[in-house]
Amino acid sequence: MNPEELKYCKSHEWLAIEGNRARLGITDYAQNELGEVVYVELPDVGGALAPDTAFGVIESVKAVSDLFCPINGTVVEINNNLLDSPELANSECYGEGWMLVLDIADHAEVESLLSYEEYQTLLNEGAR
Amino acid sequence: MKRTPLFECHQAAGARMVDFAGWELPVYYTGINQEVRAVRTGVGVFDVSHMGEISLRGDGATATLQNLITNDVSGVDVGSGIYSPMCTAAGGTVDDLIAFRVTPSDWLLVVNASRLDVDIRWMHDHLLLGTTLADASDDTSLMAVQGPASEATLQPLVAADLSLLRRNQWIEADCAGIQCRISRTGYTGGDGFEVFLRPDDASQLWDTLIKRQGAVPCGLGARDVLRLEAALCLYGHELSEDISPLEAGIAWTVKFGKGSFIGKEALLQTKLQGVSRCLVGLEMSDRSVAREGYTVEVDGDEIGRISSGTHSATLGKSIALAFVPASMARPGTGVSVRIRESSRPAQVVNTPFYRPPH
Repeated sequence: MNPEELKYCKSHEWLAIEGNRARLGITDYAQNELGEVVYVELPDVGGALAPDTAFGVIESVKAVSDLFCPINGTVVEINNNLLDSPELANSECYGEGWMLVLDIADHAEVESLLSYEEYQTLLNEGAR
Repeated sequence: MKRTPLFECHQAAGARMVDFAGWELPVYYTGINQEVRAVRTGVGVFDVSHMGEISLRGDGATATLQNLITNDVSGVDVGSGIYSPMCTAAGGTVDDLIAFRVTPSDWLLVVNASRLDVDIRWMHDHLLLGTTLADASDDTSLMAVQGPASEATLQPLVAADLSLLRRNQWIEADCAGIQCRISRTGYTGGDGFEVFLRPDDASQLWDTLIKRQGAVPCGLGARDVLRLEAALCLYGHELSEDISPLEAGIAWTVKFGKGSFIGKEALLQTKLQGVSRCLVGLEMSDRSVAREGYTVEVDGDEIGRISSGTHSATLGKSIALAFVPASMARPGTGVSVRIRESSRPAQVVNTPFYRPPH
Protein backbone atom coordinates (compact mmCIF):
# COMPACT_ATOMS: atom_id res chain seq x y z
CA MET A 1 0.00 0.00 0.00
CA ASN A 2 1.30 3.43 -0.89
CA PRO A 3 0.38 5.70 2.03
CA GLU A 4 -0.08 8.65 -0.33
CA GLU A 5 -2.90 6.87 -2.13
CA LEU A 6 -4.83 5.99 1.01
CA LYS A 7 -7.67 7.71 2.84
CA TYR A 8 -7.47 8.55 6.53
CA CYS A 9 -9.49 9.55 9.56
CA LYS A 10 -8.99 11.29 12.90
CA SER A 11 -8.73 8.03 14.85
CA HIS A 12 -5.66 7.08 12.81
CA GLU A 13 -7.03 4.31 10.65
CA TRP A 14 -6.34 4.20 6.89
CA LEU A 15 -8.62 2.95 4.15
CA ALA A 16 -7.69 1.71 0.69
CA ILE A 17 -10.79 2.14 -1.50
CA GLU A 18 -11.08 -0.76 -3.98
CA GLY A 19 -14.32 -0.21 -5.93
CA ASN A 20 -17.19 -0.83 -3.57
CA ARG A 21 -14.92 -2.30 -0.92
CA ALA A 22 -12.26 -0.85 1.35
CA ARG A 23 -9.31 -2.39 3.15
CA LEU A 24 -8.58 -0.92 6.59
CA GLY A 25 -5.57 -0.74 8.89
CA ILE A 26 -3.89 1.57 11.38
CA THR A 27 -1.41 4.28 10.44
CA ASP A 28 2.28 4.49 11.23
CA TYR A 29 1.49 7.24 13.73
CA ALA A 30 -0.94 4.92 15.54
CA GLN A 31 1.40 1.94 15.67
CA ASN A 32 4.23 4.12 16.94
CA GLU A 33 2.05 5.59 19.68
CA LEU A 34 0.87 2.13 20.74
CA GLY A 35 4.26 0.51 21.02
CA GLU A 36 4.65 -3.21 20.43
CA VAL A 37 1.26 -4.74 19.63
CA VAL A 38 0.61 -8.00 21.46
CA TYR A 39 -3.06 -8.66 20.78
CA VAL A 40 -5.73 -7.66 18.27
CA GLU A 41 -9.48 -8.33 18.46
CA LEU A 42 -11.35 -8.14 15.16
CA PRO A 43 -15.09 -8.47 14.44
CA ASP A 44 -16.68 -11.49 12.80
CA VAL A 45 -17.18 -11.56 9.03
CA GLY A 46 -20.67 -10.23 8.39
CA GLY A 47 -20.49 -7.80 11.31
CA ALA A 48 -21.67 -4.22 10.87
CA LEU A 49 -19.27 -1.31 10.99
CA ALA A 50 -20.32 2.23 11.92
CA PRO A 51 -18.51 5.47 12.72
CA ASP A 52 -17.98 6.17 16.44
CA THR A 53 -18.58 2.52 17.31
CA ALA A 54 -15.43 0.53 18.12
CA PHE A 55 -15.20 -2.61 15.95
CA GLY A 56 -12.30 -4.10 17.79
CA VAL A 57 -9.40 -3.62 20.12
CA ILE A 58 -5.66 -3.41 19.74
CA GLU A 59 -3.43 -4.02 22.73
CA SER A 60 0.19 -3.16 23.34
CA VAL A 61 2.18 -4.33 26.35
CA LYS A 62 0.92 -1.39 28.38
CA ALA A 63 -2.35 -0.28 26.85
CA VAL A 64 -5.69 -1.20 25.28
CA SER A 65 -7.05 0.94 22.42
CA ASP A 66 -10.31 0.80 20.52
CA LEU A 67 -10.34 0.45 16.73
CA PHE A 68 -12.78 2.45 14.61
CA CYS A 69 -14.04 2.47 11.05
CA PRO A 70 -15.00 6.00 9.95
CA ILE A 71 -17.66 4.87 7.44
CA ASN A 72 -20.63 2.51 7.51
CA GLY A 73 -20.14 -0.97 6.08
CA THR A 74 -20.11 -4.74 6.54
CA VAL A 75 -17.07 -6.89 7.26
CA VAL A 76 -16.28 -9.27 4.38
CA GLU A 77 -12.79 -10.40 5.37
CA ILE A 78 -10.52 -10.21 8.41
CA ASN A 79 -6.75 -10.70 8.55
CA ASN A 80 -6.21 -13.97 10.45
CA ASN A 81 -2.43 -13.59 10.03
CA LEU A 82 -2.64 -10.47 12.14
CA LEU A 83 -4.48 -12.32 14.90
CA ASP A 84 -1.64 -14.87 15.00
CA SER A 85 1.15 -12.34 14.59
CA PRO A 86 -0.06 -9.06 16.10
CA GLU A 87 3.38 -7.51 15.68
CA LEU A 88 2.55 -7.12 11.96
CA ALA A 89 0.49 -4.11 13.01
CA ASN A 90 3.81 -2.44 13.89
CA SER A 91 6.15 -3.74 11.20
CA GLU A 92 3.73 -3.76 8.25
CA CYS A 93 0.98 -1.34 9.21
CA TYR A 94 0.26 -0.44 5.56
CA GLY A 95 0.92 -3.94 4.22
CA GLU A 96 0.63 -7.35 5.85
CA GLY A 97 -0.71 -5.72 9.04
CA TRP A 98 -4.06 -4.80 7.42
CA MET A 99 -7.07 -5.53 9.62
CA LEU A 100 -10.21 -6.04 7.60
CA VAL A 101 -11.95 -5.57 4.27
CA LEU A 102 -15.45 -4.07 4.25
CA ASP A 103 -18.35 -3.63 1.80
CA ILE A 104 -18.96 0.14 1.70
CA ALA A 105 -22.60 0.95 2.61
CA ASP A 106 -22.70 4.48 1.19
CA HIS A 107 -19.97 5.51 -1.21
CA ALA A 108 -20.74 9.19 -0.54
CA GLU A 109 -19.24 8.76 2.92
CA VAL A 110 -15.82 8.21 1.32
CA GLU A 111 -15.83 11.94 0.47
CA SER A 112 -15.67 12.74 4.18
CA LEU A 113 -12.38 10.88 4.64
CA LEU A 114 -9.06 12.74 4.86
CA SER A 115 -6.54 12.71 2.07
CA TYR A 116 -2.88 11.92 2.75
CA GLU A 117 -2.05 15.66 2.82
CA GLU A 118 -4.97 16.45 5.12
CA TYR A 119 -3.91 13.63 7.48
CA GLN A 120 -0.31 14.92 7.55
CA THR A 121 -1.65 18.36 8.45
CA LEU A 122 -3.64 16.78 11.27
CA LEU A 123 -0.52 15.10 12.61
CA ASN A 124 1.53 18.27 12.38
CA GLU A 125 -1.12 20.13 14.34
CA GLY A 126 -0.43 17.66 17.15
CA ALA A 127 -3.92 16.18 17.19
CA ARG A 128 -4.15 12.89 19.14
CA MET B 1 6.74 16.35 37.75
CA LYS B 2 10.08 15.74 39.46
CA ARG B 3 13.10 14.80 37.37
CA THR B 4 16.08 12.61 38.18
CA PRO B 5 19.66 13.75 37.38
CA LEU B 6 19.44 11.54 34.26
CA PHE B 7 16.48 13.36 32.68
CA GLU B 8 18.59 14.93 29.93
CA CYS B 9 20.18 11.56 29.14
CA HIS B 10 16.73 10.02 28.71
CA GLN B 11 15.57 12.86 26.50
CA ALA B 12 18.73 12.70 24.38
CA ALA B 13 18.17 8.96 23.93
CA GLY B 14 14.66 9.64 22.64
CA ALA B 15 12.91 7.92 25.53
CA ARG B 16 9.12 8.00 25.72
CA MET B 17 8.49 9.64 29.12
CA VAL B 18 5.64 9.09 31.57
CA ASP B 19 4.51 10.36 34.98
CA PHE B 20 5.30 7.73 37.59
CA ALA B 21 4.57 8.63 41.23
CA GLY B 22 5.10 12.28 40.32
CA TRP B 23 8.41 11.65 38.53
CA GLU B 24 9.01 12.13 34.80
CA LEU B 25 10.64 8.83 33.82
CA PRO B 26 11.19 6.72 30.69
CA VAL B 27 8.57 4.07 30.00
CA TYR B 28 10.75 2.86 27.12
CA TYR B 29 13.66 3.89 24.90
CA THR B 30 13.46 1.50 21.93
CA GLY B 31 10.56 -0.71 22.95
CA ILE B 32 9.38 -2.62 26.00
CA ASN B 33 9.87 -6.11 24.52
CA GLN B 34 13.34 -5.30 23.20
CA GLU B 35 14.37 -3.97 26.59
CA VAL B 36 12.94 -7.03 28.37
CA ARG B 37 14.92 -9.24 26.00
CA ALA B 38 18.11 -7.29 26.72
CA VAL B 39 17.73 -7.95 30.44
CA ARG B 40 16.90 -11.63 29.93
CA THR B 41 19.82 -12.27 27.56
CA GLY B 42 22.44 -9.61 28.27
CA VAL B 43 22.43 -6.51 30.41
CA GLY B 44 20.03 -3.63 30.86
CA VAL B 45 20.37 -0.50 32.96
CA PHE B 46 17.49 1.31 34.70
CA ASP B 47 17.33 4.77 36.25
CA VAL B 48 15.54 4.14 39.56
CA SER B 49 16.63 7.35 41.27
CA HIS B 50 12.99 8.13 42.03
CA MET B 51 12.99 5.48 44.75
CA GLY B 52 13.24 6.66 48.33
CA GLU B 53 16.16 6.14 50.67
CA ILE B 54 15.68 6.51 54.41
CA SER B 55 18.42 6.20 57.00
CA LEU B 56 17.83 4.95 60.52
CA ARG B 57 20.76 5.55 62.86
CA GLY B 58 21.63 5.29 66.52
CA ASP B 59 21.55 2.89 69.44
CA GLY B 60 17.80 2.39 68.99
CA ALA B 61 17.87 1.96 65.20
CA THR B 62 18.04 -1.83 65.02
CA ALA B 63 15.29 -2.28 67.61
CA THR B 64 13.17 0.33 65.80
CA LEU B 65 13.59 -1.51 62.53
CA GLN B 66 12.94 -4.91 64.10
CA ASN B 67 9.63 -3.52 65.39
CA LEU B 68 8.68 -1.79 62.14
CA ILE B 69 9.18 -4.68 59.73
CA THR B 70 8.01 -8.28 59.78
CA ASN B 71 11.24 -9.93 58.69
CA ASP B 72 14.03 -10.66 61.14
CA VAL B 73 17.02 -8.28 60.98
CA SER B 74 18.95 -9.93 63.81
CA GLY B 75 20.87 -12.13 61.39
CA VAL B 76 21.66 -9.37 58.90
CA ASP B 77 25.37 -8.51 59.02
CA VAL B 78 26.98 -5.24 58.10
CA GLY B 79 27.28 -5.40 54.32
CA SER B 80 24.03 -7.27 53.83
CA GLY B 81 20.41 -6.40 53.17
CA ILE B 82 17.00 -7.93 53.72
CA TYR B 83 13.64 -7.63 51.95
CA SER B 84 10.59 -7.07 54.11
CA PRO B 85 7.09 -5.66 54.21
CA MET B 86 6.32 -3.04 56.85
CA CYS B 87 2.85 -3.61 58.31
CA THR B 88 0.09 -1.77 60.12
CA ALA B 89 -1.29 -3.04 63.42
CA ALA B 90 -4.13 -4.62 61.43
CA GLY B 91 -1.67 -6.61 59.33
CA GLY B 92 -2.03 -4.56 56.16
CA THR B 93 1.09 -3.33 54.36
CA VAL B 94 2.45 0.21 54.62
CA ASP B 95 5.22 -0.52 52.10
CA ASP B 96 7.71 -3.17 51.09
CA LEU B 97 11.40 -2.32 51.26
CA ILE B 98 14.98 -3.52 51.41
CA ALA B 99 16.99 -2.66 54.52
CA PHE B 100 20.80 -2.60 54.22
CA ARG B 101 22.99 -2.70 57.32
CA VAL B 102 25.71 -0.05 56.96
CA THR B 103 27.13 -0.31 60.50
CA PRO B 104 25.75 -2.29 63.47
CA SER B 105 23.52 0.66 64.35
CA ASP B 106 23.06 2.31 60.97
CA TRP B 107 20.53 1.12 58.35
CA LEU B 108 19.69 2.36 54.87
CA LEU B 109 16.17 1.52 53.71
CA VAL B 110 15.15 1.62 50.05
CA VAL B 111 11.42 2.25 49.67
CA ASN B 112 8.87 2.76 46.90
CA ALA B 113 8.77 6.27 45.43
CA SER B 114 4.99 6.39 45.81
CA ARG B 115 5.23 5.65 49.55
CA LEU B 116 8.23 7.73 50.65
CA ASP B 117 6.21 10.42 52.41
CA VAL B 118 3.90 7.89 54.07
CA ASP B 119 6.89 5.77 55.16
CA ILE B 120 8.72 8.70 56.72
CA ARG B 121 5.65 9.76 58.70
CA TRP B 122 4.94 6.16 59.76
CA MET B 123 8.53 5.46 60.82
CA HIS B 124 8.78 8.80 62.57
CA ASP B 125 5.73 7.89 64.64
CA HIS B 126 7.34 4.59 65.68
CA LEU B 127 10.92 5.63 66.43
CA LEU B 128 12.32 4.12 69.61
CA LEU B 129 14.61 6.13 71.89
CA GLY B 130 18.08 6.69 70.48
CA THR B 131 17.07 6.58 66.84
CA THR B 132 17.50 9.28 64.21
CA LEU B 133 15.57 9.12 60.93
CA ALA B 134 16.79 11.01 57.87
CA ASP B 135 15.47 11.22 54.33
CA ALA B 136 18.49 10.51 52.13
CA SER B 137 16.52 10.39 48.85
CA ASP B 138 17.60 13.76 47.46
CA ASP B 139 21.25 12.88 48.05
CA THR B 140 21.04 9.43 46.48
CA SER B 141 20.84 8.36 42.86
CA LEU B 142 20.16 4.72 42.08
CA MET B 143 20.78 2.68 38.94
CA ALA B 144 19.90 -0.97 38.41
CA VAL B 145 22.21 -3.06 36.22
CA GLN B 146 20.37 -6.30 35.51
CA GLY B 147 20.78 -9.45 33.46
CA PRO B 148 23.08 -12.46 33.06
CA ALA B 149 25.85 -10.18 31.73
CA SER B 150 25.52 -7.66 34.55
CA GLU B 151 28.54 -8.93 36.52
CA ALA B 152 30.69 -8.98 33.40
CA THR B 153 29.52 -5.44 32.65
CA LEU B 154 30.43 -3.99 36.05
CA GLN B 155 33.54 -6.01 36.83
CA PRO B 156 35.94 -4.09 34.55
CA LEU B 157 34.88 -0.88 36.30
CA VAL B 158 35.55 -1.98 39.88
CA ALA B 159 38.62 -3.36 41.64
CA ALA B 160 36.66 -5.61 44.03
CA ASP B 161 35.89 -9.17 42.90
CA LEU B 162 32.16 -9.05 42.20
CA SER B 163 31.94 -12.83 41.91
CA LEU B 164 32.36 -12.88 45.70
CA LEU B 165 29.35 -10.58 46.25
CA ARG B 166 26.37 -12.77 47.12
CA ARG B 167 22.72 -11.95 46.64
CA ASN B 168 21.61 -9.18 49.07
CA GLN B 169 25.18 -8.25 49.98
CA TRP B 170 26.65 -4.85 49.22
CA ILE B 171 30.09 -3.19 49.08
CA GLU B 172 31.51 0.29 48.88
CA ALA B 173 33.39 0.57 45.60
CA ASP B 174 35.10 2.87 43.20
CA CYS B 175 33.22 2.30 39.97
CA ALA B 176 34.92 3.91 36.95
CA GLY B 177 36.33 6.58 39.25
CA ILE B 178 32.99 7.16 41.00
CA GLN B 179 32.47 6.38 44.68
CA CYS B 180 29.38 4.26 45.14
CA ARG B 181 27.73 1.35 46.91
CA ILE B 182 26.95 -1.72 44.86
CA SER B 183 24.42 -4.28 46.09
CA ARG B 184 23.60 -7.59 44.47
CA THR B 185 19.87 -6.95 44.42
CA GLY B 186 17.23 -6.30 41.83
CA TYR B 187 13.63 -6.44 40.75
CA THR B 188 13.92 -8.62 37.67
CA GLY B 189 14.14 -12.18 38.97
CA GLY B 190 17.62 -12.72 37.55
CA ASP B 191 21.16 -11.70 38.45
CA GLY B 192 21.82 -8.02 38.84
CA PHE B 193 23.19 -5.15 40.84
CA GLU B 194 21.96 -1.84 42.15
CA VAL B 195 24.39 1.06 42.27
CA PHE B 196 23.91 3.86 44.83
CA LEU B 197 25.81 7.05 44.07
CA ARG B 198 25.78 10.83 44.39
CA PRO B 199 23.36 12.59 42.05
CA ASP B 200 26.22 14.65 40.59
CA ASP B 201 27.94 11.47 39.42
CA ALA B 202 24.87 9.80 37.93
CA SER B 203 25.09 10.91 34.32
CA GLN B 204 28.78 10.04 34.14
CA LEU B 205 28.17 6.48 35.28
CA TRP B 206 25.09 6.15 33.05
CA ASP B 207 27.11 7.16 30.00
CA THR B 208 29.96 4.83 30.96
CA LEU B 209 27.62 1.86 31.34
CA ILE B 210 25.85 2.49 28.06
CA LYS B 211 28.56 3.85 25.79
CA ARG B 212 31.61 2.04 27.14
CA GLN B 213 30.08 -1.16 28.47
CA GLY B 214 27.17 -1.59 26.03
CA ALA B 215 24.39 -1.85 28.61
CA VAL B 216 20.93 -1.30 27.10
CA PRO B 217 18.91 1.51 28.70
CA CYS B 218 15.57 0.14 29.93
CA GLY B 219 12.44 1.92 31.12
CA LEU B 220 9.58 1.37 33.52
CA GLY B 221 7.61 -0.62 30.99
CA ALA B 222 10.28 -3.30 30.83
CA ARG B 223 10.77 -3.10 34.60
CA ASP B 224 7.12 -3.97 35.15
CA VAL B 225 7.14 -6.91 32.70
CA LEU B 226 10.34 -8.31 34.22
CA ARG B 227 9.12 -8.17 37.82
CA LEU B 228 5.81 -9.70 36.77
CA GLU B 229 7.63 -12.59 35.02
CA ALA B 230 9.42 -13.08 38.35
CA ALA B 231 6.09 -12.78 40.22
CA LEU B 232 7.45 -10.00 42.44
CA CYS B 233 4.97 -7.80 44.28
CA LEU B 234 4.38 -4.21 43.28
CA TYR B 235 3.01 -1.97 46.04
CA GLY B 236 -0.42 -0.73 45.11
CA HIS B 237 -1.14 -3.93 43.19
CA GLU B 238 -0.15 -7.02 45.22
CA LEU B 239 0.46 -5.17 48.48
CA SER B 240 -1.48 -2.31 50.05
CA GLU B 241 -2.81 -1.18 53.40
CA ASP B 242 -5.69 -3.62 52.81
CA ILE B 243 -3.50 -6.55 51.75
CA SER B 244 -1.32 -8.48 54.18
CA PRO B 245 1.95 -10.17 53.22
CA LEU B 246 0.28 -13.49 54.05
CA GLU B 247 -2.33 -12.91 51.33
CA ALA B 248 0.31 -11.65 48.89
CA GLY B 249 2.29 -14.86 48.93
CA ILE B 250 5.26 -13.54 50.89
CA ALA B 251 4.58 -15.28 54.19
CA TRP B 252 8.29 -16.18 54.28
CA THR B 253 9.02 -12.54 55.12
CA VAL B 254 6.91 -12.69 58.30
CA LYS B 255 9.02 -14.10 61.11
CA PHE B 256 6.67 -14.98 63.94
CA GLY B 257 9.61 -16.47 65.84
CA LYS B 258 11.26 -13.11 66.50
CA GLY B 259 10.04 -10.72 69.21
CA SER B 260 7.13 -8.36 68.84
CA PHE B 261 6.60 -6.24 65.76
CA ILE B 262 3.78 -4.05 64.47
CA GLY B 263 1.04 -6.27 63.06
CA LYS B 264 2.23 -9.50 64.68
CA GLU B 265 -1.00 -10.25 66.54
CA ALA B 266 -3.22 -9.58 63.53
CA LEU B 267 -0.98 -11.59 61.21
CA LEU B 268 -0.84 -14.47 63.67
CA GLN B 269 -4.65 -14.50 63.75
CA THR B 270 -4.74 -14.66 59.96
CA LYS B 271 -2.17 -17.43 59.92
CA LEU B 272 -4.15 -19.52 62.42
CA GLN B 273 -7.50 -18.96 60.69
CA GLY B 274 -6.05 -19.30 57.21
CA VAL B 275 -6.07 -16.56 54.59
CA SER B 276 -9.40 -16.06 52.83
CA ARG B 277 -7.79 -14.93 49.59
CA CYS B 278 -4.35 -15.52 48.17
CA LEU B 279 -2.20 -14.35 45.32
CA VAL B 280 -1.79 -16.80 42.45
CA GLY B 281 -0.14 -16.80 39.06
CA LEU B 282 -2.42 -17.14 36.04
CA GLU B 283 -1.57 -18.07 32.47
CA MET B 284 -4.06 -17.17 29.75
CA SER B 285 -4.89 -20.06 27.45
CA ASP B 286 -5.06 -17.81 24.41
CA ARG B 287 -3.38 -14.59 23.33
CA SER B 288 -5.71 -12.29 25.24
CA VAL B 289 -4.18 -10.07 27.93
CA ALA B 290 -5.51 -10.10 31.50
CA ARG B 291 -4.98 -6.69 33.07
CA GLU B 292 -5.20 -5.13 36.51
CA GLY B 293 -8.80 -4.85 37.67
CA TYR B 294 -10.26 -7.51 35.38
CA THR B 295 -12.40 -10.05 37.24
CA VAL B 296 -11.56 -13.71 37.62
CA GLU B 297 -14.54 -16.04 37.23
CA VAL B 298 -15.46 -19.66 37.67
CA ASP B 299 -18.68 -20.83 36.00
CA GLY B 300 -19.71 -17.26 35.39
CA ASP B 301 -19.34 -16.24 39.05
CA GLU B 302 -16.84 -13.60 40.07
CA ILE B 303 -14.31 -15.13 42.47
CA GLY B 304 -11.37 -12.76 42.31
CA ARG B 305 -9.52 -9.95 40.63
CA ILE B 306 -6.36 -9.45 38.58
CA SER B 307 -3.76 -7.35 40.44
CA SER B 308 -1.23 -7.16 37.57
CA GLY B 309 -1.06 -8.62 34.09
CA THR B 310 0.75 -8.32 30.81
CA HIS B 311 1.86 -10.15 27.74
CA SER B 312 5.30 -11.71 28.30
CA ALA B 313 7.38 -11.92 25.16
CA THR B 314 9.99 -13.88 27.16
CA LEU B 315 7.48 -16.64 27.81
CA GLY B 316 5.36 -16.14 24.70
CA LYS B 317 2.18 -15.95 26.74
CA SER B 318 -0.03 -13.61 28.71
CA ILE B 319 0.55 -13.85 32.46
CA ALA B 320 -1.11 -12.28 35.46
CA LEU B 321 -1.18 -12.21 39.24
CA ALA B 322 -4.60 -12.42 40.85
CA PHE B 323 -6.23 -12.68 44.25
CA VAL B 324 -8.54 -15.69 44.43
CA PRO B 325 -10.07 -17.70 47.30
CA ALA B 326 -7.58 -20.07 48.91
CA SER B 327 -9.71 -22.99 47.67
CA MET B 328 -9.04 -21.96 44.06
CA ALA B 329 -5.31 -21.47 44.47
CA ARG B 330 -4.00 -24.88 43.49
CA PRO B 331 -1.88 -24.89 40.30
CA GLY B 332 -3.86 -26.49 37.49
CA THR B 333 -7.18 -24.96 38.60
CA GLY B 334 -9.07 -23.70 35.55
CA VAL B 335 -10.59 -20.23 35.77
CA SER B 336 -11.78 -17.53 33.39
CA VAL B 337 -10.90 -13.88 33.12
CA ARG B 338 -13.57 -11.42 32.02
CA ILE B 339 -12.06 -9.35 29.24
CA ARG B 340 -14.57 -6.88 27.86
CA GLU B 341 -17.62 -8.89 26.76
CA SER B 342 -16.16 -12.37 26.92
CA SER B 343 -14.73 -14.82 29.42
CA ARG B 344 -11.29 -16.05 28.41
CA PRO B 345 -9.89 -19.30 29.78
CA ALA B 346 -6.89 -19.28 32.10
CA GLN B 347 -5.10 -21.61 34.47
CA VAL B 348 -3.54 -21.19 37.89
CA VAL B 349 0.19 -21.90 37.57
CA ASN B 350 3.21 -22.06 39.86
CA THR B 351 5.25 -18.92 40.25
CA PRO B 352 7.64 -17.45 39.39
CA PHE B 353 6.64 -17.64 35.75
CA TYR B 354 10.27 -17.16 34.73
CA ARG B 355 13.38 -18.72 36.24
CA PRO B 356 16.85 -17.85 34.90
CA PRO B 357 18.60 -20.80 33.24
CA HIS B 358 21.35 -22.31 35.37
